[in-house]
Amino acid sequence: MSSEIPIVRDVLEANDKLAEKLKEIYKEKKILCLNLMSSPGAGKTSLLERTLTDLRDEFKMAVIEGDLQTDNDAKRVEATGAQAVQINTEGSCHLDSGQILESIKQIDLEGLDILFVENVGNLVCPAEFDVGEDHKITLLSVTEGDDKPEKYPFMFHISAVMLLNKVDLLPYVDFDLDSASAHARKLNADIEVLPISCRTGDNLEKWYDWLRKAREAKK
Amino acid sequence: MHEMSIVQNILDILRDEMTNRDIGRLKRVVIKNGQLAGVVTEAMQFAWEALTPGTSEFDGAKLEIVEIPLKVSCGKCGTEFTPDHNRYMPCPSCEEVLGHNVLEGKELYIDSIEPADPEE
Repeated sequence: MSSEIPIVRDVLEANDKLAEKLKEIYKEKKILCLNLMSSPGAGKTSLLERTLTDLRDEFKMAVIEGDLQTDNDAKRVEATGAQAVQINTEGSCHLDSGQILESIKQIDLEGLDILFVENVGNLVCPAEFDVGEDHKITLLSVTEGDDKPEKYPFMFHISAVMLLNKVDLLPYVDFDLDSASAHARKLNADIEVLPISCRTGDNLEKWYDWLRKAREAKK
Repeated sequence: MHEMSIVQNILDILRDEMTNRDIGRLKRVVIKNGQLAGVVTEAMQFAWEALTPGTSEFDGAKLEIVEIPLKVSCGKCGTEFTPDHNRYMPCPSCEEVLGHNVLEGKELYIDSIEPADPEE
């Protein structure tokens, strides 16, 4: 006699509940939160350095940094004048909402426009763990191969923006921008694809325009 | 990908449900695992076999994992279909390959439990 009892509970509900708490905080304070993800070395911190510098007179911004070791990235962010908190996960390959809830205690949230969470460099695990963000932003650099959205479908399926970084290196690599774009759109009709170079500044204005619109929508 | 801590999460939720329903031991647990989310069924089984022996609630309980294939609706015409693979997903009706909406395949949830018989 089967006495099967339906449960239907998400396995990751614990993190989702904490993410909801963060969402409430951001909603109340009208803060735009963005979860920045990529493989190691794609340019997340460089993107933040440019953004925090170029838009410093437009927005009040802060960053929560995630790395296994070192506070190298938090230092780079602080050098731009923005608030930064470094999380050292020691071994964990992604950030979760519990860690973010702890870290925002160290940030002055009053009047904050944008909070960036720079996740641990990894195209797999961060996709599973919401950190209360409004949007996920995934960077892919042109040295990584244009089939990465195909190899990591979930990451690109859930992202609002795909930034194709290091376009100044396009003459030296076999990277087809259209191909990468098409792979990402397979399971994400509305993903915004922006080729940029943090080093030269190429097309960053389009990223800033996207940021402005996203910030405005959260006010 | 963290199947060990994922199974820990499962055990926590199961204990919560068992307390609410006054169940002491389980015989079977059914998990639904979506294809897209990247959690490996074999690794979950392995973690279950590592974590449950010796526990009063779960020793001997069977973990059944049902894999849910990716199911999408065409970005252009709305036709629902299950692609053969992620690489190339032409709609069977209009052949569109881009912009499909994911209907199933992202899930990771505890579907049901079966309490152990009192004599067991």
